[in-house]
Amino acid sequence: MVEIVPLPPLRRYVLRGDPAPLGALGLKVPPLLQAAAAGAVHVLALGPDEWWVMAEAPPAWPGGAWVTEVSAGRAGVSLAGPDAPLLLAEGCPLDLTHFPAGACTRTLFGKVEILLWRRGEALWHVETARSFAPHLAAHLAEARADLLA
Amino acid sequence: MLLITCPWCGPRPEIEFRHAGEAHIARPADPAAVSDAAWAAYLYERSNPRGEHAERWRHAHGCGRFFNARRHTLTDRISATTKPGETP
Ligand SMILES: [Zn+2]
Repeated sequence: MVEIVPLPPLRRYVLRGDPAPLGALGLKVPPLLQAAAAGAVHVLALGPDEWWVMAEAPPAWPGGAWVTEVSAGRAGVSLAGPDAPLLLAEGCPLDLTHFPAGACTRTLFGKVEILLWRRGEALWHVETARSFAPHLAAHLAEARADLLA
Repeated sequence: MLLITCPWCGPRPEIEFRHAGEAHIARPADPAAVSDAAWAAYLYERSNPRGEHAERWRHAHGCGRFFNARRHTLTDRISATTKPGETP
């Protein structure tokens, strides 16, 4: 069982180089390929010097912080349910049995680069560039139909 | 599936990576002082060995970082991957 739900509008910010501004948001710097949270603000360590901050409302960045907002350029879906790894296996080359809750990474789904984030045991966040999002959603919906058939 | 070990992310599927040419090609410090032949060699001439080859790779659909790899051009076996500036 797995449901595909469009993501709500999210604020997304890319922080490169120095992670110091995360502290001002109350966020710990997570280890590479893991996420951390402070209240409703989440941070994902996607590269050794690259952090993405996601929240439904704009966080209070400290003065002097250099971040790039990419909110409008991204879209995707949530996958809810225990069969989400099976659905993702349709297009994702990673071994998701080694992808615990709290893990995140960029990877591929089919030909589309995605940001994959396991928010909980049975809750996955899958997003991509907005222009690819309809294709990604259609691919996932078709894979889900195959899974249920 | 071939796994390539990103020095940051660990073993990941080959499809996430992009080859980025021979490694350790240093750009001449003063291009204006370099002869045309030497400049052409810098731009175009590569070792193209049959065997161990030092290469640059990029974890393009992952952490995005460049790194160095030593790959055998006959067996395609990658014997080492290192961060830029490190020696295996
Ligand atoms: Zn990587």
